[in-house]
Parts: sequence; C-alpha cells; structure tokens
Amino acid sequence: MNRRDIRKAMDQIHISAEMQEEMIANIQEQMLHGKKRTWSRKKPWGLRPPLC
Amino acid sequence: MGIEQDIRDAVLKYSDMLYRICMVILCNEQDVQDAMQDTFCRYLEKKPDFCDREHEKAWLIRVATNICRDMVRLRIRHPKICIDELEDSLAAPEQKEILKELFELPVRQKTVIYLHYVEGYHIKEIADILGTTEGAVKMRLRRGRKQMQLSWKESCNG
Repeated sequence: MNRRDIRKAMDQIHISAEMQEEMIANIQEQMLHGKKRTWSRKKPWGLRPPLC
Repeated sequence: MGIEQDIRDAVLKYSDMLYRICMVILCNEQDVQDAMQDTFCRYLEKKPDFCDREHEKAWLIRVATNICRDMVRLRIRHPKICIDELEDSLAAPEQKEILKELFELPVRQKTVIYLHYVEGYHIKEIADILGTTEGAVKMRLRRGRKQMQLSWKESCNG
C-alpha cells in the first residue's frame, strides 16, 4: 500500500449532487434568515461521566 | 442574488474536497453535512482576504478539521458508516480495505495522512494548517502509516 493507493481509493469518493443542492438550500436559509445551526455543542446526557 | 451566487459558487468549488476530509474524520454522512454547512457559513460570514487559491483552500481545511474535531470530541451522535454503504462503485476490493483502514485510525493520524497523501501537502504546510509542530505531524504520519501497514498485512494474511 502506498501514496498512490490511498489517493486512488479516496478519489472514488464524491459528494452527491442531491447533497450539494440540499446544502446550498440550507446555507441560503441560514445566511439569509439566520436559522439556527443544525447541530448543537451540548453534550448528550448519555455521554456524561458518572457522578461517583 | 449576490449572496446566493456566492453560496452556490463556494459549494460547487470546494464541496468535493471538504466532503472527503470530513468523511475521513467523521465517518458519517449526516455529521459530514453538518460540518460542511458550518464551514461554508463561516467562510461566507467572515469573507477573509486570501493571498491566493491555496491560501483559501488551506483556510477551509483548517476550519473544517476544527469543526470535525469538536464534533468528535463533544459527542458521537451517529454510528460510523459502513464502507460497503459508502460507495458501491469502488472499483477494487482493496480500495475498500484501504478506506476501512484509513477510517479506523485515530482522528489526528488520519487527518495528517489524508492531507499528505491525498491533498499532497508537505509536512510544514500541514503543521501550519493544523496549528501544530512539524515534529508532531511527522510522528502522526509515521504512526498512522505503520498502523495502516500492520492492518493491511493482517487482512492479507487473514
């Protein structure tokens, strides 16, 4: 395995046209109307360390 | 109309590159989309002055990797994607194996490997983009490479 193999494998991965269009629509919504971002930095309860 | 065109231009120009690096780090399409959206919003809000296209690309990579790192650090919301589901059109089975090994590495190592081997950045440039030292980049590269070789040998023998 070498640089060319890794590059060749990664070159197979592309964003879909649907995802691009969805992203453009979401960014427009967010930029033009200041809609809240789709993910929050709040830590979910399940991942909190135990109290004791 | 202006901002809408700016958004479209930025997404069409950089989304493929950002999609790959975010996918390497997050291994989940939903999280990747969130991280990319955040990156593009920061890019469009700040509109930094760039010296050239390389500077602009490096800025986007730095912002995207920081956002991905925060997402990984703060929570693991979605399960990792299965390589088989990611891309059915991968030509050879060994390419799936390479991606699997790359995705399994720790975030720091796979980020450096991606930037060096896929984007073609030098050690110094990666250190600048990630805000770390050249020594740390070399170490991550060495460890990541070693781990991938080890997994590769195991899968070939097994």
